[in-house]
Amino acid sequence: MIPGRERARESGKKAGRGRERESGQAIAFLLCRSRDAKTLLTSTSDLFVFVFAFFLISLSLQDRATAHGTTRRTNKNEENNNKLTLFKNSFQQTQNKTKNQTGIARAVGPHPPAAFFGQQAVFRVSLASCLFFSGMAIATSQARFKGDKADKTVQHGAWGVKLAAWVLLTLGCFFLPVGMMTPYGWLSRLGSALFLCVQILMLLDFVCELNDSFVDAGEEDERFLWGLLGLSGACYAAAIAFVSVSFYFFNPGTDPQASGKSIDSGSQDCSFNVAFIVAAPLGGLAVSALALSGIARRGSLFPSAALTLYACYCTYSALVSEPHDYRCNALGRRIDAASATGMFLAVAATLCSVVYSALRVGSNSSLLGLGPEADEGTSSSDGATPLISRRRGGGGARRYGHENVDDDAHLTSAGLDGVSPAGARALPGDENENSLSATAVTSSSSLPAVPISYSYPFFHAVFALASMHFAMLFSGYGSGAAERALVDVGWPSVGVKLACAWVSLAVYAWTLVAPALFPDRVF
Amino acid sequence: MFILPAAATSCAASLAASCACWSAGALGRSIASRSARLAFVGFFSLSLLLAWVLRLGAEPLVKHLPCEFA
Repeated sequence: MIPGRERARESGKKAGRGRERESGQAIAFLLCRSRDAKTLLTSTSDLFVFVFAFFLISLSLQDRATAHGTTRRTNKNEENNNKLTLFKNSFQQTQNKTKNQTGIARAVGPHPPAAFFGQQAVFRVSLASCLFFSGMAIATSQARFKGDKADKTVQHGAWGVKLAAWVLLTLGCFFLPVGMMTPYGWLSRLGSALFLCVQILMLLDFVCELNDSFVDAGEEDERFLWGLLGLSGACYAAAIAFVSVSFYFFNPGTDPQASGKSIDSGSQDCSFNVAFIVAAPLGGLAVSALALSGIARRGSLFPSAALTLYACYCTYSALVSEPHDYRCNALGRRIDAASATGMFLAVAATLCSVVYSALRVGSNSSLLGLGPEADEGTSSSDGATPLISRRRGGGGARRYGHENVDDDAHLTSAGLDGVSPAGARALPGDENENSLSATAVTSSSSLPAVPISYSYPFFHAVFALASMHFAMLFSGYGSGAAERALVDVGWPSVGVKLACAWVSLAVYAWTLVAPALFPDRVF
Repeated sequence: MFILPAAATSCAASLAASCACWSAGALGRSIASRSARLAFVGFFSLSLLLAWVLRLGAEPLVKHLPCEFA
């Protein structure tokens, strides 16, 4: 009997509280605990491998998508698109010829395209924001307890100084030479890839946690297992919905309204879209089959379904990001035809999602084992620190005399500066973060020091990465080919989003097969 | 004859600007006192909005800055 089925039988017994029920076994076969699967990204080197792979894949897909888009554009679009490219080429040639740059005007004439200035401004604001948050990350790196100088002054105080620093940095970056923005552009590409990879890891962490909590609850009440099965089915249904919508809008042969005057193609010309629309659910199904096979020791259906949904959503989002004048993007033309309010809302939604994801990722400092307790010797001796699931219980709070503190709670802080249970017990009823810090200082002799509830440096580092990410969003990932009135639209965005879809599936597949491939490794 | 209305308008404008500044400052202090994270999100959002605005209309501003554009 293969291990998976054996395990399923064991889980089936648990699910029915020892009752040998066929339904419990069947569900448990699909819904095993995935807890161990989360710990498979076991070292920081894995993270860098994934980031690098993501970077290369996204660049490759960007090139493919750009090549695909440019070869199928109308002459007018090609003319508009090539304008900036010609400008950039001539600028680079001048850079190569003359060591001392003396100005854009001398390089390409007195009238460079407006998109160039927009991109330069975006890079400078992004650089200022990145420097600001990097500085904050360094300044708060020594914060360990609420009431520390780094906590009280740097993190929670001196807002006037911070505002002044932000303003000065933003203004100062506009005085930097143009040549400095090119390396920052490449740095931003890497930072953006890292930001997206961290988001993928966070998603994987979340779905595995949800799966485990449902399976744990299912040991007491089987209805949770049925609920989890229903949730998995809902994810697959939503994935099918995204595929259907993608086929309808991004394969004009199936869209009767897409046969407008600018469209002279059938479905065969949209093979790029069709290939990725079909490939995403197939990849999801492959990962699901892998999770349920004997190779994956701790595979489960729900994470597979969630990752399938995510891959299909990313593919849909990538196709939405295709240039709106692209003939296979029927949805883009509809958005263009809609009011300016709709476009504004689309841009605002993109920006809000960046802010929200930065806040969530930055607050979840336990994700990469960078929580406040990370420096307390809880990492393994060989440096192989689990990236996704550092098992809570490192005992960070216990060292400070809080034996009764639930370690999980302060490590998984995803709210807004929620006071850790330690803090809540030290000062019951005090919800104000600053007063908590102040009291911890003033009465330090009577109260034990309260550890900080989230990692300040990690929080600021995530925002520094998010600053690089929005520079890429606004600049078409450094290509300058982004549409002026829209954000995150263009072939480079298409490539990055497709890379997100496939890297997330690849990371999940890796968590499934790694124990079988590396049996000697401690997961 | 027109001096008084103009002065009144100017005063009203100054008062409105002062009130706006005071309100913004109070709001910022209130947010910062409630949650440092929200305040930092505010900084980030400001950068984001500024970048968005400048992306659309930075040319007149950037051209006149003493970097290498002029």
